[in-house]
Formats: sequence, C-alpha cells, structure tokens
Amino acid sequence: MQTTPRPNNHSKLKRLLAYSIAVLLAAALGSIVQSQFNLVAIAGLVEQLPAGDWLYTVWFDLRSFTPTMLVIMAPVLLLALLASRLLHTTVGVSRLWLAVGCSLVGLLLALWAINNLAPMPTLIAASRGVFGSLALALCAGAGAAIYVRLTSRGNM
Amino acid sequence: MKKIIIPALLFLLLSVKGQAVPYQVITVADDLNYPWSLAFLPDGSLLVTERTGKLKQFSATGEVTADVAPVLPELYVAAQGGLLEVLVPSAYSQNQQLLISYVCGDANANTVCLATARWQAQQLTDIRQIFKAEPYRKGAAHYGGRMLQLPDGSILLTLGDGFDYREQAQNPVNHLGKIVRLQPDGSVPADNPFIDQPGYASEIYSMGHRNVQGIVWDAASSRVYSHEHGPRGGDELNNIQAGKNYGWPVATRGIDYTGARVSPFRQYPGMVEPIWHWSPSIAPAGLTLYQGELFPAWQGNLFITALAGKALHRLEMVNGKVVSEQLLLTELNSRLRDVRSGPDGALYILTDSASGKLLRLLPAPQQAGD
Repeated sequence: MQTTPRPNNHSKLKRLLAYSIAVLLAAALGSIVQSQFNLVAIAGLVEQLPAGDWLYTVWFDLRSFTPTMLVIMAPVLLLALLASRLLHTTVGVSRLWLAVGCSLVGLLLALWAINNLAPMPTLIAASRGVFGSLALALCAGAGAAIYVRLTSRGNM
Repeated sequence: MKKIIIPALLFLLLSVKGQAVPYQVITVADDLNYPWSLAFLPDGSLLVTERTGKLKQFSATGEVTADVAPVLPELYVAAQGGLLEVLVPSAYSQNQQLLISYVCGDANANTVCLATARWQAQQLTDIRQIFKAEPYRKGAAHYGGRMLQLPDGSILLTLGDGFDYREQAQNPVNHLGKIVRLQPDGSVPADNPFIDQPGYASEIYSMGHRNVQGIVWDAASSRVYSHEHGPRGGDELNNIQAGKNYGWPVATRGIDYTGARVSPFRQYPGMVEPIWHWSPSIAPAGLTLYQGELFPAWQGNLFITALAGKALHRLEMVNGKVVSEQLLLTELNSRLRDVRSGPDGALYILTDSASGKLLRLLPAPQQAGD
C-alpha cells in the first residue's frame, strides 16, 4: 500500500512561510493595482497629474490600504489553496492552475460578499467595475501561483 | 407634552472658546422612526419627516396632530433613501404648498425626486413630482436631499454623488454631486450660473460635492453655508457660491474607508477650499443658523448635528470664518440627524435611530440665588 509522506515540522514551517509571503505579495500587488484605478479616474478629471503625486499615492496606499487587502487576501488564499489541494488529488489537473483558478473565483466571491454586507455599495473603489474586480482577482491568482511555486518539490 | 428633562441642568465645560451657556434638554416626542428633517409651519406647529415614509405634525405644545404616509410617486425606502426633507416655502401662507424631497425608483435605478404637495386638514394632497435628478443610479447611498429657499424664492436642492459614482460630481452634464437651483414649481431660474453653457445641466448651482446634508442661508452676511460628508476624514463646511466647484473627488482631505487615497490632491486650482473641515469625520447631518432670542450669546452661530460624532457642534462665525467650535449634547451619546432654530428661540434636534427623538434645547432655568 502506498502512503503519502506526512510533512514534518520543517516542511510545515516552510509552507506557512510560503503562505505568508504569498498573502503579503498578493495584498501589496492588489494595493498597487487599486491605486492605478483610482489614479486613472482622477487623471481623467484634472489637467495634469504629476508623476510624483502618482508615485506618492501608490506608496501611501501600500502603507495604508495593504492592511485591508491582507484581511481579504489571507482567508481567500487559505481557502483557495486548500480547495485546490483537494481538487488536485481528485481531478488530477495541474495544481498551479487549480490554485490560481480557485483564488480568482475566491476573491470575486469575497468582493461580492463584502459589497453585500458592508454599509456602502462598494467597499473597494477599484472593484466598482468588472475590470477592476478581475484585476484584483488576478492579484489573488498571482499570490496562489507564488505559493505553489515556493512549495513545489524542488523548493521544499 | 411629554417632558423628560435629561438631565435637569447641564453646565457645559467643553467650550473651546467663549463662555459656557447652561441649557436643558426636553424631549418633545419620541418613538420616531429614523426622523430625518423638521420644519415649522406659520402656526408654530412642527412637521417631522421619517425616512421610512411618514410625515408627522406636532403642535407647539408637543401633541401629535397628524400622522400620514404620503403617497409620493415612486417612493423608494432603503438604507439612506426614503422620505427626506420637508420645506415650508415662503408662499405657504398663501397656497399651503410644501416641498418634499425623497428618493424615488427602485434598488437598481433610483434618484432624488422633488414634489410639491398641499397640506390641508392634516393631510397631504395634490402631490406632484416636479423634479427628478438625473441619472438614475444603483445602490442606496449619498442622496443629499436637503433644501434651502433663497431670498429670491428659488430653491437650492442638494444632491449626493451616489457613492459609487464619485467622479460624476465633476461631470457637469448630470446632477450627481451637485447643488441644483430650481423655482418652487420645478422650473429652472433664468439666471442659473450655467443656464446657457453647452454641456452643463441648466439646474446646476454648484458642483464637486460628495453628500451635502445641511444647507442654510445667513441673511446678515448674504452667505449660503453647507456641509458635506467626507469619506474617512475630510467632512467640510463650505460657503456656497453660484457656479463654483467644491472639488470632490479631486480635492479632498479625506481618504477612502479602506485606507486608500481617493485623490492625491487636498487642494486643486479652480476648486474652492472648505472654510472648516473635520478629520476624523463627524458625519454632519443637519445645519441651522441660530437667530433666536433665548440664547443671546449664540446669535449668528451655526449649529451642526453629527451622526458619527454624536454631538451638536456650535460654530462661532466672524466674517464667514469659523473662530471657535464647541461640542454640545455629547452627554446624550446619540446620533443626531437634524437641527433647526425654532420660532420660540429654542433649538430643535432630531436624534437618528429606529426610536428617534425630537428634542428641544432651552436655557437652563434660573436657580434661586442666581
């Protein structure tokens, strides 16, 4: 009978580290992406939006908005990665693409749930439109890909 | 009249500047379902709107004399939407006509509507929709809906940005994030600032607003003051002038609720800066200019009710500038929706809840030996 080797503590720690890195990068990427949507909208209303103001806003959001994205990304990625692991063992599709797909869908579901529960119509301005929501979902997908890459056999 | 003095005497020690004025608070009415605005009729009675759709009349002594659910065309009640303000225009004594702002439409397509209605025998009759802000929007937030009658008889109606449509506050084609000026019959005054300007809605009086929840005329200085909600921080008090742009969302001192910047700019050329601002936000929801005689020290002061701030803000104004701010009614720990200067010299305040109250603020009675 073939048995799956149980991960030792060292391996668990590496997985936890990989997950933390993935969540952090996905949240930071999400922050940068949402800044672009807001800035493009403002740029359409003014004659000039200097590059310095643009970069400062991205930096401000990285410090001020990333915590919000962390709160959203952390559970989404956790559930998506668990789901993709289960699916991988049952359907046999590439773990990378399953993880990316699950996190994409997961973030879109999370945005939908947040916008239905929050008192305001849309919590994250960038997700007011389809493109913004998809862009944020891609950030979650990138986070999942980073996790899979970091935890692939060669890196464990 | 139901009188509950809470508490009997309140000697204020929160004055930032100026002398504390002792006052008492009397509950005129309670069990009001999200009361939104109040107005005085010439006979001294009060009209109170409940956002959930009712209009109530109270006698000068506090008895309920009318309780009606006006059949407003397409009334939509949800979240911040519903029956908003009732205004008693100057011609009321001649025609008994009221102006009522409310949210009309449905969950997927709604906006602010304005109606005229006749108040006769404690009933609203002859209800006619005279204005509908354009375009429709989805969601039930940021409607504005406050009204002011200017000395020339025209009406200023505040209109919010619809929350998800904030950039539209800079789009002169529509009414989102604007203050519009109309005649009491809904027609457009011929001297509106953009009346002949292509690409501008002819009703626009000022633009670049987020969610104006208070507007008042100061006859002594011929100024219109209004306040509006910022996002996280950046609530503003503005001096409204015809044709001006007040900046939202380009120029703001607030950031989004998520922590993200709405805009890189706190000021922007060509956009009017506020004369006062609040960060963190207080969520200003009502505005009046005190002109009564019961509080001589407060003559000419602006009073602002705050929802999140749970206080009544008294602003002392000199030449259009705020020189001091004092917080009152903090002891109530209640969200405050509206405030008006009553004909009897008292201040009337609405609290914001499913069991809201109408409060009267009076000077504290003289104590023996005073």
